[in-house]
Amino acid sequence: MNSQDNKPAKDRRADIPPPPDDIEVEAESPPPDPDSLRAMFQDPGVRNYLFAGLAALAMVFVTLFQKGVDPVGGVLLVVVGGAGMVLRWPASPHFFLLILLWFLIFPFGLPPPDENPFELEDGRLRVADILLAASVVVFLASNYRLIGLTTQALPFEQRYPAKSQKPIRRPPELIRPGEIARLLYLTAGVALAGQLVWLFVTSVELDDAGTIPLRLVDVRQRFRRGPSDGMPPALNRFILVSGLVFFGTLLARLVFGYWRLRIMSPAEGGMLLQDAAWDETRREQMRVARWRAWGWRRAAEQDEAAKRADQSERGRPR
Amino acid sequence: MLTSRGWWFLAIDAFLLVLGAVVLPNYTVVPAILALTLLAWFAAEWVMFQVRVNAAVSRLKVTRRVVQGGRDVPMVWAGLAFEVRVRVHHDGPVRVPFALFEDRLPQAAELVAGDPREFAHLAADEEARIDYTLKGPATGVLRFEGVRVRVADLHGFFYHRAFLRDEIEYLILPPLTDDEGRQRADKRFNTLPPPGIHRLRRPGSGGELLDLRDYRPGDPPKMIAWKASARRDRLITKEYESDVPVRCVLFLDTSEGMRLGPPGHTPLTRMAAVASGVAQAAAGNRDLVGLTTFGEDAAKGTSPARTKLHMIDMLRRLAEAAALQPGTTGVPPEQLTGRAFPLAVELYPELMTRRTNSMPLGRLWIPLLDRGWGWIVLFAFLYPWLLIGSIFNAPRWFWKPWVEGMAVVAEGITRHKGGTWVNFLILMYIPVLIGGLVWLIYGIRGWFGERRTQLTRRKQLAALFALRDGTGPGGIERLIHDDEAYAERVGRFLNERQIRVPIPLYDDRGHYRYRCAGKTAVLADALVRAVGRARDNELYVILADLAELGPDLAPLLKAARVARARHHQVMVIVPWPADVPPPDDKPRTEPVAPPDDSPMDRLPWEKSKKKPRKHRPVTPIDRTARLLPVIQAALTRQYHEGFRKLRRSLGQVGATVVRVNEGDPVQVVLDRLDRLRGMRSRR
Repeated sequence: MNSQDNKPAKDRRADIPPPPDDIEVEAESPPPDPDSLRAMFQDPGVRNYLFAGLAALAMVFVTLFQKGVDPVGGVLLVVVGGAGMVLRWPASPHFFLLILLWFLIFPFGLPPPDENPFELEDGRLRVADILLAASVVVFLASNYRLIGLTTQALPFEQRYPAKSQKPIRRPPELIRPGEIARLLYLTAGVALAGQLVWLFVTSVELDDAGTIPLRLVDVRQRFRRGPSDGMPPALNRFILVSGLVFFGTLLARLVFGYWRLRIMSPAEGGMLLQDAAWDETRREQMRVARWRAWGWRRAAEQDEAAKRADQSERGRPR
Repeated sequence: MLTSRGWWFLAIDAFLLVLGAVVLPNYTVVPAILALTLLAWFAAEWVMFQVRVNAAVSRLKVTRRVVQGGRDVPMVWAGLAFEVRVRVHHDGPVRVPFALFEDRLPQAAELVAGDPREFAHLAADEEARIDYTLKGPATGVLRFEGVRVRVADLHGFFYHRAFLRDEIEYLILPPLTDDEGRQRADKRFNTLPPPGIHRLRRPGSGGELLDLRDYRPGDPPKMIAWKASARRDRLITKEYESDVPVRCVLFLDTSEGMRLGPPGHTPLTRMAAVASGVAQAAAGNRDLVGLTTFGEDAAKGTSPARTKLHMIDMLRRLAEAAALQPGTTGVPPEQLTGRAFPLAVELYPELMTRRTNSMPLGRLWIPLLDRGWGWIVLFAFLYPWLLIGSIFNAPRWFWKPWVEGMAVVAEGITRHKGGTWVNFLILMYIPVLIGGLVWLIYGIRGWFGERRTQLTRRKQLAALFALRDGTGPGGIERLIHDDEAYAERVGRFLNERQIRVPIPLYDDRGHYRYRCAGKTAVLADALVRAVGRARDNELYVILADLAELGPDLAPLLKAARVARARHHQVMVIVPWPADVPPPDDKPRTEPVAPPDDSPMDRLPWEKSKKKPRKHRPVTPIDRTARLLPVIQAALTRQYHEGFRKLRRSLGQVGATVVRVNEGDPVQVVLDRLDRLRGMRSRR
């Protein structure tokens, strides 16, 4: 019999050499800190959004360059947008939009802007504009989703949260396959919708005399000298855009409001009816409740007085 | 609901849109197109979110299982871990891309393992799984409220909160005792009768000889004592002792004073644990155990028995008793609202919104005529109109002095400035103006500040309670106006959910509010009733806080005397407050630090090594801090004295008094039961 076989199990385990230090044991390596850059690159879902955002930024740069905007503006936008994504700066999308607005108005970075009387006619369904709008939507969507994955996805419940309260992030495991593809489809749709709405707003003007208060714009009228007989075009566009937003919201609220009514729980419906009944009768109810409270108070006072009288009666020597 | 991120985005987009559509089109149309595209994107996201909320979130269902020992249980044991398995699913046609489900943990439970939260994206055929392990540290009730749901879109623009109510209560039964509960159920010594048997000196069918008597016709022949008959030359019959079980009745005090303290650590919880230990040990010994719970108003009891069903029923009653919470009488309504409102918003989010539970501004307006002086203001507001009206209708003496007096004053003013008629009208309508201003300023105060917050919250809570109780709109105003009813209802709401409210322990006159002197009469009644039903020597164990009752103990002393006269044993176990040292402990002799290191405290030849400190004025907090040990010592002394008196007075009638922290009270009771069992066998 081998002498090694006679050793107890504990001693035999001691003979096994320890693993060399240079071999990394994967199971023991700690998971990266979700706040770190490394974590952003390690998770494929997060990485995809990061790359999608950066690609959209590159597209914005190219489109602006093609539109004749000073490359400094494009570079500035890429730097602000890219840094905001990588450093998870929640305000970066807003600054990105404002800087983009600045360079769209002043392509060379400084006032005055170049006036173009044909811009309104030429600016319909321009490919560069569609690409720019779509790139901006992709960048913003990627940026916001990245913020949700790495910084905060759900708002705090309290108005003033405690410092120790940690924000809730969306776990990367919840990223479903095809999310970016769906985002691109949606972007294509909304970019087209934006163009169509702008086409509508610039092709139609208000007609207060017509049965339908809208009519097609007479383009020649726009370039005629002297006072125009209709509403100023700027005011016309403002009213049309406001009207579209207002009636669109109204329609959506009506549809979803009716849907909410249909799916309302019995308790919710009961509360709604009770609240309406209370609102109609609250003055009478209040008066009755106040009188009752006054009656109880008076009865309690009388009881107290009677008790005191009783006590003094008992304490009196006979 | 729009989040702040959504609002910011919408604001910047609106700015872009207005600027791009109105101002900039002659320079560039791109901002307008960009803004419209972003708006379309935002609207599309909003529509999708609304569709998901309406079609999927509103159809969420929750199922819950509590598993202990590998199977579903309707109740759990204290101190043992159990698993909670919650499943959330919906049957809507759309998918929820991002939701957080969080099971609301019961107050009386400790999280041992797992996470009650789960992130999920849910389609119709999927379910979110929340698995975690809890432990109920003390006897009581475990109440699950439901699952909190938070849904957001992927960009964080929109947010929806819901609560899937799944109210269910599980009893936490007292822990199964180990040593006491597993006592041997066989006979250990020949001198003792078998467990569960107690010899009674009455003729019966036992095994021990009780007496010999003359034969009576009808006695069975096998009972004839032949030797004794032969000796006496007449027939003698043997009589045997009765074999009866030992009976123990537990009286548990559930009055409000016993319910004070942190949840799970109240005197009532401790006493319920003691009662459970005694009951299980006695049942293990085949003794019969009964339980009577009593408060200030009534007592409720079960007769002694020893079946398993009876034991489970008793443990259930102990768990229910341990879960009782102190009432909220005397707690200010604002304090109750402060506790109840956030809870109600969390549990009933859809019933506490402004859409379903509104507060109109008119209800917040403070009515002027609630005050006595309001009528004066009203008169000042109305009297010019009344005066003008009375000129045409009322008798002359009614308006003439006023009008003439005012005319005289107006003429007097006219000498300095203005015309007489103008001054007359100004004089007449100044009170109207002042009255109107007073009315406006007084009433509008209700729209702002703390009053608005308090009244709005109270109304919303009142509406919720009115809906749940079915009292309708009338119940709302009643709860708003009646502080007592409101406190009672809110207290019930909080107690059901085991939320504690800071309770004033002393009343306006400085008396302890939870002395509960009325319970002694109820206890005495219950004791006498138990004695009336008793068959033989029984043991009555009273688990009650009686230390500070003093002269109010008289009914109990009488009842204990009755019990002792019938040869029953009475034992009182008193819960000892955690912050009061036992009477056997030596008082602490810590040196009291000098209040101030002033030169006056030192002798002239003693030199101070420290630098003289600046004299700090004594604040009320300092005074309170100095008084606190003195007050605590006085209260301790008072409690010791009360306990000593209780022990002496009950000792005089033959009852034993034991403290909970004095040894093992369960063992003391078991020893007494053993003594009862062997009492008649030691000859």
